[in-house]
Amino acid sequence: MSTTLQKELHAFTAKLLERRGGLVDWPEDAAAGTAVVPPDVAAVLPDGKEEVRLSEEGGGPGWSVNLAGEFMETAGRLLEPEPRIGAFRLPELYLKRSQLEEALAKTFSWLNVRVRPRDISATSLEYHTWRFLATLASEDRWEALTTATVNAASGAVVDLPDPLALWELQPGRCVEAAPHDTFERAASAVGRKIRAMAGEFIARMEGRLQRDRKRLRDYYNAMLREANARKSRPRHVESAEEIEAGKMESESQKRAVDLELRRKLIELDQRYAMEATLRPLVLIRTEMPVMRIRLEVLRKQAKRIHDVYWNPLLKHFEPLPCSRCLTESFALAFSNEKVAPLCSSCWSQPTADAKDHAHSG
Amino acid sequence: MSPSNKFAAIEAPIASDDLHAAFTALESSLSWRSSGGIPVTFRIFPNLAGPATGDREGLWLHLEHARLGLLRGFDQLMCLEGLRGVEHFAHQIETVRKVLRHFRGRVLLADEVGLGKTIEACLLLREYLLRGLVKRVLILTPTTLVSQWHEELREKFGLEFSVPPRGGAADKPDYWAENDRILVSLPFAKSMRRAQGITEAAWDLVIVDEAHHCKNRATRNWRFINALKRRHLFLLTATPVQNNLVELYNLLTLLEPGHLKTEAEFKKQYVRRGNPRDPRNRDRLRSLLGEVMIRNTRSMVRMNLPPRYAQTLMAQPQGAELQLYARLDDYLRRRKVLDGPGDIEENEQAEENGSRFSEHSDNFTRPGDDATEHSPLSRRQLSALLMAAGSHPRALAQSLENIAGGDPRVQELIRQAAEIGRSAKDEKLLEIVRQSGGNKLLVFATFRRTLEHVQQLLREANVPFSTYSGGETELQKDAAVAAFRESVPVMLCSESGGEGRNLQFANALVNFDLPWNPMRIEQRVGRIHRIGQTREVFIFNLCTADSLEARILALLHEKIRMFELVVGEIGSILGNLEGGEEFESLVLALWLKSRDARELRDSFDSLGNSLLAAQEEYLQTKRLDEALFGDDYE
Repeated sequence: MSTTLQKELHAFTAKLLERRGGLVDWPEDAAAGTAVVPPDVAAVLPDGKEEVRLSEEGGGPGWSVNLAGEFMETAGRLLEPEPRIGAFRLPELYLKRSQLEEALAKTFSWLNVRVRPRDISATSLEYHTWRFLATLASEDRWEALTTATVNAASGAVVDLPDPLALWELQPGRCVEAAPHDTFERAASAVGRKIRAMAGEFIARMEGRLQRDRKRLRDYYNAMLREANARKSRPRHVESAEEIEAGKMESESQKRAVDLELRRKLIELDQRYAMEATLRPLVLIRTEMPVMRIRLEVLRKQAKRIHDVYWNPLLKHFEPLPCSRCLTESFALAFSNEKVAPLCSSCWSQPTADAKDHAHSG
Repeated sequence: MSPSNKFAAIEAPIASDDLHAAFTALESSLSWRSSGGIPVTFRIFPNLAGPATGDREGLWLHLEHARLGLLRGFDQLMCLEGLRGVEHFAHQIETVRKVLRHFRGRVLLADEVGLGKTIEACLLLREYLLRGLVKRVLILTPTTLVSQWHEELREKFGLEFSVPPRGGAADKPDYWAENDRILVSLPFAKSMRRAQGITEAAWDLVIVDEAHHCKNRATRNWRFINALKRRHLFLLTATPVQNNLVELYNLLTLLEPGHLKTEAEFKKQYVRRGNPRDPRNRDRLRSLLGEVMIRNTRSMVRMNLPPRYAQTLMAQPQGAELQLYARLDDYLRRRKVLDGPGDIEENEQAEENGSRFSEHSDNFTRPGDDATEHSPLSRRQLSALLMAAGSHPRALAQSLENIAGGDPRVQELIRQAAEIGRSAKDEKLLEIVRQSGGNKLLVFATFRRTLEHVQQLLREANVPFSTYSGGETELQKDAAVAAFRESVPVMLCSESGGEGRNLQFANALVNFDLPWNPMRIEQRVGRIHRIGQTREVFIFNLCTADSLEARILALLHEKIRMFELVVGEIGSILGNLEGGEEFESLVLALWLKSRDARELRDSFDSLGNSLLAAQEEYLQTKRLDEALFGDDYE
């Protein structure tokens, strides 16, 4: 194990035990240390003792702090009581108040509407940063940690920096339930992101699958060829009945081999079929000030108010999500009746409301 | 696609209250098919619950825990911690790593006998389970190895497996679909009643022990394994080639059909015409085999142990002791025994089902004889009595108490057994202790009463000793081993005493009594004859003249010279015995079948010949495999 990893494990373990009420005596450069832990923590640790030896080495007495063995599982059990939802705020961020309309015009392209800014004001919004463990399980396995932050008002997925890394972060108002709407929105965004993130892994699986398919096809086809070759070399002059019986046998053999090949190919496809899982790890709710511009969006026969936000961490406007595919965009068209935002690709698709009516304007 | 949401600007339908439906819609909206045609389905775990915190450290710990979890590479095995009494060696760890990294979970583990293929397979199994790579596992073994596997999986690896009941439940396909971890004998699994249920269920991992039973493509064994829907497959055998190279081809075709092309192509490329055992293009064949097979040899892993020598010390019982054994034999031959197959477990099943009873030897059953009037003995009770008699009169008295009921003849036997002070074997043991000159002696006894008696015997003879048995706590066991290493010359051990402990500082062992199962005898010897042992090992077997143990010992020691075999070889030899019955069941069946000592001797002679034939078969196979793979196969 590398020294860096050892240090990380060391720091993680010390923090974890202290968090659960333990006293840890494990100098940074020592291979072993000790901790005194409360009875409920001791009950989870391997020896069940309140005075526990901590060691980088595996197999000895006490708790082995390394990635082999069941260290991670034990740590996971100790972490169970820790909340997974955090509520924070960033009260003092610089807000751009001048020339916002010009910035708005430079940032957004309105494809089929007229837009009038109605009101510009500072407001406070919540952003939900969801951290997920994403897994792709096939013949092999791919795993990654990934994040999506959702503007809780607009539903836009925005690329905010990690809130936990911001020194300005302060505890916020504690809330009970995790919001379902931003969870779905974040899961959806991350689900799409995985395709790109795991591209190399997926390509590797595809390559293996193709090779395995080829191996199976070659094998069963060769078996058939060999069987046919044997049939085509009769050792004596065959009667008509023998020839007919031979043909039937050959046909039935071909069917059996085809069937077996098909079965094996199905089995192979099942082996390589991928299951992607998204497991939410934590939610960080961050309340922060933003500049809101209230826009009046005018279509031929309808109008509607939409809000866009200037984000002080990004220092620019956030995009709006397309009402159909949820892709964030700065180039937007709007549907006729509901005046809902559409990205350029949904706008160009021939769907009832998106094209037939929207294009008429 | 239309994932639900309720944001002001988004017009797609707002999520219904039915979160499940919303999730299903979201999951299906995210599913796609890769450009190469692999379908990707999504599963999203439920939303987080619980209160919120304003403290960032707890959240950081969750994230750090997940991040560190991702750093677990295959270099760091997870399976090694938490094992109980498993001594694993470098070659086994290396094998686990190789399979994880390069073999994609489909491998023929073909280590030479005694190098621990089962340990390798169990380590791999544990690793796959801990990493979440497999969930549904099916283990297929010969009938005789089911209980051994079951015990080892549970005791050493902490893995619980279901062994299917012999009743109707296992005949229903649901049983195989609903149980995620099943351990079953291959003959039981492949029967017509169950095969369909098993092959229709999908398995993440299938392990086949003694896979040479599937060497022939025309057999039901091979077809059954081939029909199983499995993601990963481990085949275990020390003898992948028994008669000809096509057997190896057949095994590897189970793993990767087409890896060695068709059978005709394989023969053309790799089998010398006219000699199906002689390979051509050895280097190319080895290279191909290396992609699907791992074989560790003794010379490769430098696991050549010093020789071991065994001596049988025959104790001649006198007077009351001699009389006791004769009366016991007479009594048992008159008492009814449950009829049933040789297998002790099956016998229990028969007992539960209320199957018919028979007297084990009609000629010895006389009308009105009071021994026949009491409830019949099960085979297990009978074998326990016979084993106890072979151990010590004290153990026998205890076993008789268990079956006494109101039988006055048993009460009389108990009284006689309890009155015997020192048995003939006691004297022999004291003789060995005196002659050992203070050298360390490990003394094994199966029965607790025997162990207690030997403790008393040694105390009276002023011989210091320690005791290591199931009755002691872990601390007491530590203390017993420490005392044996540092001060006392004798350690008394129960059946599995000291498994996984380093006792190589001793090099002499006494079998005060003898298990009927040769594998258990080998386990005892393995406590001191193992890696780390630098001196010759001496084994003293105590047995009472004319006892069943004496006959067993004559078979194992004199016929096939078991104590000179390499660790593990006895298992391979017994595996070649026809019928696949457990050795102890065979012994009991011979006793039941024989009407007197002469018939018993003849039966044992016949079993001895079968053992010799099985040994010859094993040796032939071993020679062939050695010639084929050499000592340095990798």
